[in-house]
Order: sequence, then C-alpha cells, then structure tokens
Amino acid sequence: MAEVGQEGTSDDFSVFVEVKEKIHAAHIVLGLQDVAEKCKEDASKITVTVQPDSIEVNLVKDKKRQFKVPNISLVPNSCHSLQWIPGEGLHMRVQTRSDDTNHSQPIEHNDVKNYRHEIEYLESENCQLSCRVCNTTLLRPNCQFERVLPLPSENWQELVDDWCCHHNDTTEKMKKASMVPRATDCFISDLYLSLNMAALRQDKIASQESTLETELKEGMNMVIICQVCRCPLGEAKLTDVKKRHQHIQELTESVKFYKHCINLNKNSLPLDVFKSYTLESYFARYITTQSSVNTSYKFILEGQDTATNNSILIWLMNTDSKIMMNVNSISQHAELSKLMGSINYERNGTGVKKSLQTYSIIKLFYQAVWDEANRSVLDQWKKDNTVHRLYLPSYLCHQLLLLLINNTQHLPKSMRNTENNFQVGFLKIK
Amino acid sequence: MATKRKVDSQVPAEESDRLIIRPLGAGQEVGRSCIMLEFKGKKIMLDCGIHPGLSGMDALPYFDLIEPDEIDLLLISHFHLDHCGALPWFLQKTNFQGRVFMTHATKAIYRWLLSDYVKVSNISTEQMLYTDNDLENSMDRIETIDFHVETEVLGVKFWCYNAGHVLGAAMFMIEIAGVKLLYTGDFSRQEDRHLMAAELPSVRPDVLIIESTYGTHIHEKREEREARFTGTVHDIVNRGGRCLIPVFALGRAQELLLILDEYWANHPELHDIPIYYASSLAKKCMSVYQTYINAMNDKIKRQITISNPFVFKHISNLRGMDHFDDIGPSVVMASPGMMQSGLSRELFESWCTDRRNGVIIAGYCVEGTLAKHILSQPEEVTTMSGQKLPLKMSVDYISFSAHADYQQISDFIRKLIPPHVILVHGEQNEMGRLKAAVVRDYEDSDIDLQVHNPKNTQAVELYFRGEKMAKVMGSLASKKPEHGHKVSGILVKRNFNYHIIAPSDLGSYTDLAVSTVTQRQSIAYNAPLSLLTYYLTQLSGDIEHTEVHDKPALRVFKHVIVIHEAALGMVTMEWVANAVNDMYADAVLSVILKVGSDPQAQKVKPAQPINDVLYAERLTKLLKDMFGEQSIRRNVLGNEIMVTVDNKTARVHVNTLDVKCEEDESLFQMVSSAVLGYTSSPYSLVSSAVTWLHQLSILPSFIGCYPTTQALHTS
Repeated sequence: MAEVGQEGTSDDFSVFVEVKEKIHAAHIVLGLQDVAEKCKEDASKITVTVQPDSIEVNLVKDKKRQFKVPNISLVPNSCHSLQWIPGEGLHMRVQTRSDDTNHSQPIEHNDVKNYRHEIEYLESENCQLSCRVCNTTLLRPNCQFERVLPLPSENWQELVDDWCCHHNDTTEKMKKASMVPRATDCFISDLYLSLNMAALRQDKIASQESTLETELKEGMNMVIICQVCRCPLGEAKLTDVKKRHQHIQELTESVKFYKHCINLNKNSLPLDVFKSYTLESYFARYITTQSSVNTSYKFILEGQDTATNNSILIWLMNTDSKIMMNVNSISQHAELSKLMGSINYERNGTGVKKSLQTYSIIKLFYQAVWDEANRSVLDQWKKDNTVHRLYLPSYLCHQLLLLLINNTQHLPKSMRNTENNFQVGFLKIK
Repeated sequence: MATKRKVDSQVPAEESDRLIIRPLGAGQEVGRSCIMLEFKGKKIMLDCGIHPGLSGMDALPYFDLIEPDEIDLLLISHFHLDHCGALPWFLQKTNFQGRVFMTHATKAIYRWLLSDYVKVSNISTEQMLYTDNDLENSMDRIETIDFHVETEVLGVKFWCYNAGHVLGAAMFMIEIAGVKLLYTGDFSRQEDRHLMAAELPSVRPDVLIIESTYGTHIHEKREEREARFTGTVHDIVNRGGRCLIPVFALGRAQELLLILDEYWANHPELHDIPIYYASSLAKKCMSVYQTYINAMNDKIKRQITISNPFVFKHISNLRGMDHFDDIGPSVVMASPGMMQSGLSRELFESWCTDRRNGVIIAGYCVEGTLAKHILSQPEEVTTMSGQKLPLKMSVDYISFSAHADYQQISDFIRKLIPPHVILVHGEQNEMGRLKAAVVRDYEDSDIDLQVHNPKNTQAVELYFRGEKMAKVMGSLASKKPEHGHKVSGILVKRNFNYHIIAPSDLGSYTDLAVSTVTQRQSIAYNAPLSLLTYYLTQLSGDIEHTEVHDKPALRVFKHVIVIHEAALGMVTMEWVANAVNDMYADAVLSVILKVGSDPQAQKVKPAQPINDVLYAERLTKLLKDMFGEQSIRRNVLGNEIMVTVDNKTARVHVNTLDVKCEEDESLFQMVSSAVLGYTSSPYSLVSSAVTWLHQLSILPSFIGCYPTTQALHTS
C-alpha cells in the first residue's frame, strides 16, 4: 500500500469531474500541467483516453493512470470543448448517461420520506440523545416520547388562509396552533428535532452568552450549547425576556436540536441514524429549503446577533450536481481528506487504477461583504425583490463562510471566480 | 321535489331511468362538498371534502349512506380542504376501488397543502383522520387530467372546463348514457389579473349542479372595484397618509399586488412612495403558479414570455417592523387579513389615530375579528395590550371574491338553460333566496326549469326516459331495411350503446366469440351393449353403430353418441349442446339409467335371431300385412325379404334381421321398425307390432322434458 501511495504521489495530478445530471454533461479537468513540467519532455506525448467507465491517462515512460467514474457512464465520442489552460491542465466536456436514477432526484424539501426511519427510532424505547462532540446525554433518564410527529413546512401559517375557500373558526384556530412540543412530544423536521424543556436535562444545556450586549427580544433565536463541551447543539426561541441572565428554562419552552449536532443512542449504544447529517449538509439543506420555500435563488445572509453588518451574498446555481475528485486535489488539506475517507487503489498491470470519490453538492456563488467592500452589490441586492434575506447566528455565518472558502480551494483554479467578483463554491449534501 | 313516479323495483339499476343526485355534504351548507350521482348502475362521487368547522369523523360527509366499493369514479374540482380534505381518508381507510381524477395543478397544490394540514392537525388536535403516510400513499392513486380532454371510465364520459376560482379549479361535465351533468365546483365567471374566468361549456347539460355561496349577492363590477381600490390608495398617499392593506396569504394577494404594480407603473408621480409587501408569504405558491402558467389567463401567458409578471417592479419585501422606516406616506400589505395579531395589527395600532392614514379591507371578514369590528365605524378601538385608541384613520371595504355572484350564476344558467338546476355549497338562507330568485326569473317564460336545493343526504330523483337505439351492423345491415321486415340477430350492449349483429359477425365487430359447448356425461352401466342398443333402437329408430377411440359406440338421434366403456363399467354420452340435442340427450340418458338399473328392463332381452323357417315366414307375413302382398318378395337364396314400395326396395336379412335401404330413408325406417317390433314381441304377433309403431311415433313428445342433469363440458 505504501508503495502504491508513493507511486501515487510522485507524479500524480488532480482529476476533477463536475457532473450535471439533468443536462447529462460532465466537465472534466485533468491537472496535467505539473506532470508535464516534471517530465521535462513534450507534454504532447501524454495521451488521454475517455472510456465509458473511466478516464485513462498515459504518461510518458509508459506510466498509466486510470480513473474510474462511478455511477455514470461517459459517451467518449461526444467529447468536445477540449482546452489546455496554462498553469492548470486539460479541460473537456463529455456527455453522460446516468446509470443510477436515484441519485438524480434533487433533495425534496421537508419530505417525511427522508426521515421516516428516524421517527421509528425516536418512538422506540430507551432512545437517548447526546451531544455529538462529547456524548453528554441530553434527555432525562427514562424519557419515552409518546408522540413523534413531523413538523409542517416552515411557512405553513402564512398559507392557512388558502386551505379553504372560506374563513372559518377552525382554520383560524389552527393558525394559532402552537407547534411547541409538550413534555412527551418530539417534533421532527428535516433539519432538527424540537423538544420540550421538560424532556431535557437542563443542567447539560445552556444558552450561549452573547459577547455583544445585544438586547434580548421576544421571538429572537438564541444559540443553545452543550454545558460540558460548549459546542453548539441548536437554537431556542426566547419567550420570556423580562429578566436578564435567567436560567434557560425560564427563557424558553422548547429547544431545537440540529440533527448534525447530536447523536441518537439506543440502550446506551450509539446509532448512526444522524451520522449523515453534517454541518455542511445542514447548510446545503437549509439553503435548498429556503430556495424552494421562497422561490428565491439569491440570498443575503446576515448574522442575527451581531451589531456589525457583515453579510454573505449567496447565489444558488443548482442543487443537482455531483463532483468527483481524486485524492490529490484533497491531500493538501489533511483534515478534509480525513473527513472524506480514503481512496480505493487497485493495482492494474503497469498503471494504478483509482476510483474517483463522488459527492452530491449544491453549487453556489458567494461573496462576503465586510465593511465597505462590495457594498454596491449588497445595496443592489437589497433593492432587488427577488433576493431573500436570511438570518443565522453569527457563528454559523462564519462557519459557512469557512466551509465555502475551503471548498473553493478544491475547484480547479480557473473555475473559482466569476466575472462579477463572486467566488464559486459548493456544499456537499452527502 | 322531483317528479314523483313509482319505480318498479324489478328494473335492474342499469336499465332504470332514474338519476339520483344526493349531497353527502354541501347540501344547504358550506363545507365538506361531496355529491353522489347514481344513474344506469354507475355511481360517481363529486368532491370529497371535510367540514372545516367540525373535527374528527364529524367533519366527514355522510359516507355511511354509501358503499365505497360500489363507486366507480371520484372527481375532485379543486384543492381547497372543503373539496378534497377527506380524500386521503376515503382512499386509504375505505374499500373504495374506483378511479380518482383531478387536474395537474390541483394535484400539485393538494399535496403540499394537505401535507401541512395533516402535520398541523396531528400536532394540535388529538382526533386526526389520517396521517402524512396515508396522504403520501394516496398520491399514486390520483390520476390527472387536462382541461377539455375527454376521458372514459366504464362507459361514463367526462371532461373538465376551467372554473376560475383558484388555480387548477375545474368544472366537470359528465355524460352517462347520453345524459349530461355539469358540476361547477366553486367557480367564478369574472376574469381577474391572474386567473381566467370560468368557461361557458359549449354543450348544454341536462342537469346543472352549481355552487351558491353568495346567494343573491351581487359583486361590484371588476373595473369599478379596481378603480375604487386604486383610487382609495391614491387618495390616502396623496394626503400624506399611510395605507394599510391587510391581506390573506394567497387568496387575493397576488391580485392586489398585480393591480398596484400596474397602477404605480402608470403613475410616475407615485414612484417615490414605497409599496411594501410584508413577509415572504405565498412565494412558494407563486412557484406553483409559475409552473402552471397554462391554467392562467391569456394576458399572464403573454406576459410571461416577456418577463415574469410575478416579479414586481414597484413592490419591495418587508421582513418586519424592525426593518421598516416609517417616515412618510407608504403602502403596506401585511398579513393576517383579519388583523387578529401580527404585523397588520401592529401597523393598524400605530397608524389608526392619524386621520391622514387609511386601511383598506380587501375580501371576506369573519365575525368577531377586528377587521369586522372597524367596518362598523367605531369611535374607539382596543389595542392588543388593552389600551383604548381613537379610530381616526379612514376605513374602506372592497370585496374581492373568487366565487360567482348572483349575476354570474343567473347569466350562466340563462346561457345553458339546463332543465334541472341543483344548488349546493351555500348557506341555507342564501340558497333559499337564490332558488327563489332563479325560479322567479323563469316564472313567466316557456322554459321549464326546475331548481332543487336538497339538504345533506336528501336525494333529488330525476327521470330520463332514454329512447333505446340499437344500430344494426355487419351482414344484417348489408341490405336496405324494408317496412315490415324483421331483423333477427344478437343484441349486444356495451356501456350504453346497443348493436344488433348476426351471430357470425360477432367475432368481427365485438370481442365476443361464438363457441360450441360439447356436453359429456358418464353413467355407470354394467349391462351389455346389445341391451342398450335394443332399447335405444326402440327409442329413436335411427341407431348407427360406430367406434370412438376403438370403443364401440352408438349414434342415437344422429347427434348423441353413446360410447360403451365396458372395462370401466360405464357408458359415456357426448353431444353438442343445443336445445334439441339436449332433449334427445335427456331421453337417451333416461333410457340408459333405466336399462342400467331397472331389473325389469333387463329381463326383456331382445330375441336372438332365430334361424328357422317359421320365423322368416312370420316376418314375411307381417310385412305383407303392412305393405301389401305384391310388395313382398323373397330372394332366390331365401335369406332376404325384399320390400318394394313405389319402386323402392328395402332388404331384410332373415338371419341377422339387418335392414338395408339406400334409396329411401322413410321406407328404411318403417321396415326397420317393423322388423324390430316383430323381434321384440315375445310372441311376434303382427297386430301388437303395428300398435307399437304407433306408440313410437308419439314418444318424442315425452322426452322433451327439462331440466337436464348433464354435466357441462365445453369444447
């Protein structure tokens, strides 16, 4: 394995494939620039062969590299837009045939089908929630939920008037219906669980002390953290703010735990029910949801609890892309490559055959607006009625920006910027 | 009530002329629309709503009056809960097996509307009729239809027209056995900025089932209403005031936005005055609206090719009071429409004391809400915190309704002139007034128009005497019919069409086939075949010896074959089933049973041919008696008696008693019978043989008795 690894790194190059499933196209970038330079010979001797299931590169000195493209099949004779970009390598576009129809379905907003199995786990006995970082248990001992119910879409209240052609008391009453869980309730949405304070070990959760002395207001969201490791767990709406520095249960009735911040355990054994939820997937889903709820593709993301007016402009491009990369493009970011798992190597005659890692992503343009920089675009967007404003806790805004910047680094250099000062970024759904 | 007529209960449903229309909901009430149609054995349900004012099972229509599994077809007019809210329950919790149809847009909106409804109901109430799972599972059973495309289910034809009202709303025209019914659902004949007006069907229905929400109310004309609305807004901002328009989320919000955006575009002097639309509401709906642009009016369709009409130039979003700089004249649309709480209430309370400001209530108001209260022009209003404020701002009411008013209904009826009008979906008094008004309209005219307003569960019975027409097809139709000429063939009924076809044409004109049924029956039989031969010869006289599968067999009456399976101790009868052959078979069967079981019968053994002179002499004498002296001759060998009648000769072999006559069948029969009659009589008396011949001739009339006991065997 070590040998392979060495061989893999000595004169390896990056492979990047972006697959647009709906239009059946793949954009392939082979970072051959460095290899060509190292070879000190004419780079034109390198041959590239596109096969339905793989891309094969014959380097000089009979060295062969083969990259498998999983779940799609390329149409070799459709190859076009061949381009050598100096400092980077070879770009080309190829048509695809999708083998796997399941993957091409975009994530459906708050579809119960996506989390029905989670409901079953939560309904079962001896289930326990814990902080994902330190594993501190969050539910009271022997807590058994009597009702585990899916939550309606976020903006349901605004649509109640259209449920019937006539106004009537029932829909009026329903409109006021509280979505606050009772002590034995667990309400679930695609992103979070909503639980009553009475179901929780209140000594294990706390509200984040805001560094800024912002005024607490009813209806405002506060960040809920784990008392033990101080890591964020979710959020809660302030319901009573008459007294400052109260204990948490006096400030709110219920808490929303983000699925990516918690673990679900059964009989004290951790289950990987929420494992597929990560902060990155949370952002991806959040933005997709907001886009579908508001029919909006442009968002101004602002920190909720800061006095400064920093914001991120987000321009959602598509939610159905996939990217495939080889390890080389990731290896420089040790932490990330660890997260993304290892790559399968396969000895194959003279060359090395690798399977590319595939990620479903949402693709977006972004721009951070700090102080006076980029103000003009922000002002322009603020006037635009199609732009929707989003508010997140500041720490999440920062994390999102870091994730986006990090991900941008994985894109080929020529594909990182747009003409209008936006950066190209992506968020992995799973 | 309908024409009273006694119904013959013997008439099967599909032949009856009775059309039953029975509201299971929405009969003299608003909510839980559900109307049953029964005609010619078909059962159709129109809409399947819940009553939003009731909960649990009480909210359902009167389903206990029907058998869900008998319903052939269910048509849903639009996505409101009072028209489709019970559908997941009906599909998942009953044994309904029929087909369900709605328009594409209705299905799309139905899904996310009900999804929220179910989740909210499950969380807020204990009694919920179905779960999100049920809703999800019901989706696959719903079929979609396009406007104006005819669909046929079990002979019931139906198609739908655009109903205005809301996106995707449909009116259904249903045709059963030539009788047409139009169900309007909720409809509006007034085109507005985004929806087209309900279409006027080109065919005249026999029965019109129509909504009556507004009874005899008359809406303001659209142009006047819009002018009053924009005029009022203009006045308020002109006098330096702030204009508040509380709105429902989707209801008429788009409509108002479209009107205001257009008005602002035409009045550049207003461009400095901002219009705010507070909240992100209804944007999701808009995405559906954009998807189903085809269901909208031509103006929007044209516009959408140039720019998106739902992207407003002069209107900005307002997230909440925090982001609102209230510094001068402005127009704010805010929810909720009733101002119970929320942003519209906040703005109202901060603006109501200034007489420059104004509030425009657009739409329908519910008793007990602030919106309703301020319409009575009170001096003071009470704020949310209990404080009393003087009400100085102007208050205007403008009705924007998506339902037809009296003028529209009356005009609609006048254009269609249906013989029967059935009112549904209206409050009892409104409905009563509407009925009276419509009846009055036709009082002095020659037009016979009956108006019914049944209560829930009360049936309206109408009679449609269908003249039955049968078309003659195929070879029967090859000749021009003449007066007095009888056509004989098979009457084929398919759905509600009749055809007369010759049996031979069945295969070419229908998917029916002509088949023959061969019957076979085995009977235990242990006696020798000769005994049976004897008896059967007695019975029919035309026994033919043959072989079937190497087994001895007899052909009796030319069509019934009796096979002797001695090894199995039985005989098997075979014949092609038809009325006559069955009669023969019955007779043969009774003989077999008699011979096989009756000891008396077995005693009567046929006399073996006796080779003696006396025997031959006696036979000769018998034949001479029957046919005359000169007709009988013996051959040279003396072993044959020749009977010659009218130059035709039958030969009787003296030893075997075989009769041969190739020339004449009847002679053969007569001679054979005579010979057999002679041999069967113990004493071979001539007189008795003659008497017996008479008996034989009347036998067939005995054996025609039915029913047959044969087992059916289809070949």
